[in-house]
Amino acid sequence: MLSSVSEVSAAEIVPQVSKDEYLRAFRWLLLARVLDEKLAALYRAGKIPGGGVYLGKGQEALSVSVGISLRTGDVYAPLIRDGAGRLAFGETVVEALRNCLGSVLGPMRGRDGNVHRGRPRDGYLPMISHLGAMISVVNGVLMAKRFKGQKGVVGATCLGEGGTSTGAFHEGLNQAGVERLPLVMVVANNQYAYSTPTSRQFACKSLADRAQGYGFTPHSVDGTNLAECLKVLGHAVALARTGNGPQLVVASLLRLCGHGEHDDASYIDPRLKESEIGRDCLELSEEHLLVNSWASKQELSQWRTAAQRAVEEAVALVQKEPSPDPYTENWCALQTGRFAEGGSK
Amino acid sequence: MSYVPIVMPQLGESIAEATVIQILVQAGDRVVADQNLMEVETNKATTTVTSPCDGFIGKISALCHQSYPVGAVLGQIQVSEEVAQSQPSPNAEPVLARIVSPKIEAVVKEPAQVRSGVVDPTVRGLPVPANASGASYMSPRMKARMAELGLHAADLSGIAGSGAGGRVTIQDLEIFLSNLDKHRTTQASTMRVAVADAMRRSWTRPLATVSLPVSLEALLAHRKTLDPKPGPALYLLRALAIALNENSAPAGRLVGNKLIHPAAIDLGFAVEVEDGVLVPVLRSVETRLLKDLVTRYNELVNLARQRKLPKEATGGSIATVTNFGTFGLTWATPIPLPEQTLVLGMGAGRIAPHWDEVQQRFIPAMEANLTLSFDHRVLDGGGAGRLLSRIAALMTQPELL
Repeated sequence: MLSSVSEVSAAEIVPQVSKDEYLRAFRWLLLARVLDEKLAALYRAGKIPGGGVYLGKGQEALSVSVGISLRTGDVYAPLIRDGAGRLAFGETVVEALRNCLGSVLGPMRGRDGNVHRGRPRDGYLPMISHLGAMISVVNGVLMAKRFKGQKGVVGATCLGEGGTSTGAFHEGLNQAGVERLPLVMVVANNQYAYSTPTSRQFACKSLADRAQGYGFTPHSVDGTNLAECLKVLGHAVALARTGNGPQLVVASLLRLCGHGEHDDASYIDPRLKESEIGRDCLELSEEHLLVNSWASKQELSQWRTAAQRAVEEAVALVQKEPSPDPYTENWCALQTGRFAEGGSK
Repeated sequence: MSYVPIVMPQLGESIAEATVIQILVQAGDRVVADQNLMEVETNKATTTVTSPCDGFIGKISALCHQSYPVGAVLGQIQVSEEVAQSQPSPNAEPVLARIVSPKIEAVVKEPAQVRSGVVDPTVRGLPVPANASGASYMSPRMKARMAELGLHAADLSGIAGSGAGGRVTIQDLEIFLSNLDKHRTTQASTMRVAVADAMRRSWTRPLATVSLPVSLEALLAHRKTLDPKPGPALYLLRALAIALNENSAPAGRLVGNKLIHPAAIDLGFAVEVEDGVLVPVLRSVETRLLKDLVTRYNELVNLARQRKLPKEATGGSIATVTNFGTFGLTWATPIPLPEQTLVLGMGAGRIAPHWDEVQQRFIPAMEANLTLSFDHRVLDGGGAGRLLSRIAALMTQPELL
């Protein structure tokens, strides 16, 4: 059985990540970082309403690997830090900016900040909360697809290590295990739940150890290493897709920013920043590209410039769009059925 | 040349203001988009304010170590027409300003200019919900502002809230306060403030009143036989003491699921003094006869009026007697002291027709209303009625007092 050996043998079973795959993922990663940097600057210039901007710096390698491993027809419920995964799954920069800048043309019509957006019709679920609430929602969508006879579908959702301490996490994983759903549960252990360190968060040696208790297949991965993330996530998604039940992927990494941009993260242990876990996945992947001669320094620089230009153009476009007018806005609740897969317009 | 404002960003969902701690640029400096312009500090973190675009610093209006509300203009950047064009359109720009409607903006400035002599809040302009009319939500900011001014929720009961769900916002409060300045105000006495505080605390309980008329004929006749003559309130005091000595439970206090019974029948009586009421206390009233209490009672009334009550004659009483009849009133619903369950009142005496069973006719007789106001958590109408009936019966048999 694949599931009983996957954790130790993932590297051997799954072929090495090809140059093309790596480059494709890298370009999303780079775009996500550039977009995050711009969002941070816009936030500090007072251009983002609503009070919160939550970025994914340091988590992009993991995030992009989730988004890129899924395909049309799959379900994706990302976390607040999954800008990279969202882009890889099909969200556009303009769409992201419209939401953050409060454009009335945005997915949430300018009513929401940056975290609760999505396109349910396309399997991209808007987040309810980052504390485990999405697990049972993804379970529900996967159950619905099962009842409809759809096969070969995967649902992925992401959490931080803090989210694993909630009751919703337990209920969701137990349900997925009992139903043997094709769920890929991705946990980004970024060492701090806001300011709470892992020593105050869980007492087990590794969060992947919890997989056994829920009937999940465990996977552990270095979240700073893009190639490893692509390999492990690709493998986990493939296992779920081929009927091997739910998968738990636990990535070790460090959040390289505050909980939100209003937080200066002064509580992060400097020793963690110096350790391997504190390395920047973007810098590491750039090194990887150079060492393998998959890209030159000049190309890297050009790609960054291109990403910056794309983001600046999108910002210029979105900043000219109107925000919702509270006097003319229709404040009635919308029927979510309209947005769901198969819902009428 | 056009100008683009540098604004204080919203640095967290609960953050209303931030303090500028360092300014990194000065007028005339060339800046590029996203460049750090100043460091600001919230109660959560230190961060930077960035430039919204390329240009030259036109003016920095913010001062170091000053706190500014979210959305405040901290300075301006001089930009080319081209850059100005690329900035958000007037329609798209003021998301925050548009949520705070123009109507509110217009009145926000007023309190800052009108009010004086009190500490000005560092932040204005954001609708922060607060409490006024009920025990609903009151924001920490509102609580802090009220504490600063020594205000209580009851003081705000006249404000119509404009916030969500009719909540009183900090703006509502500031406008209310600035309007007060237009009126003549006098300083409330310490006594007035103390009474207000006691009444506020007392009013947190469900209070009720029962009443009964009682004939004073026997009492008035009895009174003539004594020297010095006791006042009607002293008769009432003794009647209450005897009734409570028979059953002290109605004077108990309810704390959680326990009824706290009185330790001794120490009773207070209300004495009107300048701008308030004092309540001298007679100890163990059930053990002392009416005639033995008269001198001490009169002494305490005089001491109270001079505000020279000795310590042993204040506090610790379990119920109070009030003779509101001295104001010519025949009926009232006094409020028991916060630490007491009962207040027994007596109205003014008046001649009323009484039906005489023997003579089968009405005869004129002096009577007064007795009222018993009580904490309905401790006592019901039946219990209160039985206590008051017993007191009324004793009042018609003054020789027992």
